[in-house]
Amino acid sequence: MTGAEMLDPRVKAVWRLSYLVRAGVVAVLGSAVAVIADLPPAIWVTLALVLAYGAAAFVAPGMSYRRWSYAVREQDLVLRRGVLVRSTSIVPFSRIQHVDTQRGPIERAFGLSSVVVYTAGAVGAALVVPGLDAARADVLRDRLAALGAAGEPV
Amino acid sequence: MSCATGSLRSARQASRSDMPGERLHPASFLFIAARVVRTFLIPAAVAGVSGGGGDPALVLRIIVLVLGVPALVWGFVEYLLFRFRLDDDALVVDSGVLRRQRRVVRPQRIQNVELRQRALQRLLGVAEVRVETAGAGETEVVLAVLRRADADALRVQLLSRRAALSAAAPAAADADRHADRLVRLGSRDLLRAGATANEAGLIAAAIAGVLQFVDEPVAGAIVRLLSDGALERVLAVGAWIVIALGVAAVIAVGWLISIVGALVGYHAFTLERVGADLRKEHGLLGRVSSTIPLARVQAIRVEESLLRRPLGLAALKVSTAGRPGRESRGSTMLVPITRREQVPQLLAAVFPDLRLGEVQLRPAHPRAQRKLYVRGALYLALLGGGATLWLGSMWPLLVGAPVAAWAARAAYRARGYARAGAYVVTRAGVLNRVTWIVPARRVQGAHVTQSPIQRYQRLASVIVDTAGGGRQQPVALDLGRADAHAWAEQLAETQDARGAAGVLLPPETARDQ
Repeated sequence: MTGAEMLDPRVKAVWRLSYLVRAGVVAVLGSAVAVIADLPPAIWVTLALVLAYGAAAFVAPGMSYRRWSYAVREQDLVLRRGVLVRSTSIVPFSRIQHVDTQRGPIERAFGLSSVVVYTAGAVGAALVVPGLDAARADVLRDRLAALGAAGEPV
Repeated sequence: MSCATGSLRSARQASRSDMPGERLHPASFLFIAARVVRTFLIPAAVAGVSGGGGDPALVLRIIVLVLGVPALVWGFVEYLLFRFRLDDDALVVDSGVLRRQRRVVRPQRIQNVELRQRALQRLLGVAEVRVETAGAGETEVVLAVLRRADADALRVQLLSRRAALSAAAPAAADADRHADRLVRLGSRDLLRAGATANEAGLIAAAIAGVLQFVDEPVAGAIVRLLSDGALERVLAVGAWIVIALGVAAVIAVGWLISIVGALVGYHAFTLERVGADLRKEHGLLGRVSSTIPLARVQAIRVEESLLRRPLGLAALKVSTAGRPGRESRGSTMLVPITRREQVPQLLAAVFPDLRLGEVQLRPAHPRAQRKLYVRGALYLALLGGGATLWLGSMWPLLVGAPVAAWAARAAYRARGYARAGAYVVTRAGVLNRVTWIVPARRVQGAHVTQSPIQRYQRLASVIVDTAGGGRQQPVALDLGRADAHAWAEQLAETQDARGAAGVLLPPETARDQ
């Protein structure tokens, strides 16, 4: 049995960067709409969205990092997360269908990786544990896969 | 044609067995042609109109020429090239005209074998056999069409082979001939089902009808009269009476459609237990006969809508794994209408060790009441307040207040959750009170969620994740925070490390859902 573990702190930078990327995309698209369609109000909407994303980039990553934890317990995997809507997911090992690791381009740049746990359930069809050091993610994936296989034959 | 037969022969030579498969019923080519016509009707119509100009006879001739004749030829070729056979360990289907395809279905993977007869197929004495498997996004194999007797025989063979191969039901093969009738619905039951069905749909239809109706001349008249500043004159003109009559007419039509729909769709509904399967059959014009393996049942929903509750009526739905994208995502009607007293007995046919009568549901946390009353007050302020301002009369608020209070109280009283032996039960809903029954060993995970408002009130909800039923999942709403976490822990305790089979799903499906 293991206690709750936090994500790698570098994930905050990953999240921050992805918010900023979104802000950039909105800025480009919004200005394009304003110029091409000749809609001056679009500038204000764009500005508001960019400011919102910008603010989120500075506030949200820290908050969600503090809320995020996971634990590999005796019989199950527990994920805790969420700033506005908090959630705790408990998935027994015997319900794990299979386990992946995935790496987005930003994650890769920081040497991080996500572990994705698939179950047959509808709500927990694909549970993602983001922001793990790539080596640690591989270990977690193999461990969960082994624990899942040791349970019932699904 | 000879060339087509040649390619068939070579395909067969490449097959793992030299036994030629069986053909479908010769009438199949008609149904294949009909499918082709349906697919290409619009382009052909465009071609016909653009080619034939204003002459309807010419248009028709062009459509028949470019669509009808090729469709018939295609149907015949596809019929000739379609072969299937049931080996000892698999159903093998070779199909396709341009792209040959071989599909091998192992009986143990079969979820459901459905026999379907559309109206024309009934006249010709033929039927479609549809084979569903876990994990396939669509029906895995469609044999359209076979002689009715052949279709029946094939289904029996498929199911008994599955039973023989499946470890879950070793004894089922012998029991297969014995059918236990659970439900038989007569016209009176169906009238009741149709008359009480779907009030949400009725309301929506009514609103849509009113909008349509108000849309043009009436709205114009109302606006004109209102701009003169005299609502009384609208009343004098009787526009409200006209609108009320219109609403009543729309509701009456919707109601009739619903009744006729139930009478036709569920005509001679029967539900039987055959060995380790449930088999249901229904339909007036077309007959549908489908099989639900008991071992695949993930959960059952008992639905008691607002209209049905006072009449003591309920409907049962069943969710099975691996049928995404079908009939409200994996949940199928099990019994369209039944008396409430009969529900425990019906459930016992699926879950033999369930004692629903003895289940004591735990209520939501008392603090949830406050939340529901606040929510009701907000709705009242928004809707009732708005109407009051608009009409300049206090009536909407006066009428709305007791309704909102009743709804909040009813919502609280409807809620409940329990872990009863090997089953998990949740209940909620006012317009449609839904009771979920999930075998504990089918629970795929437990998720505690807490919205900001719930956090303020130290409440939380628990989602009981199952492999069937799509988005709709059983939820225990608004428990105390500590209770919610304790219950989630209890749900996640799987006492099944030794044996009880979970769901057999390939990884692709898990990802799709």
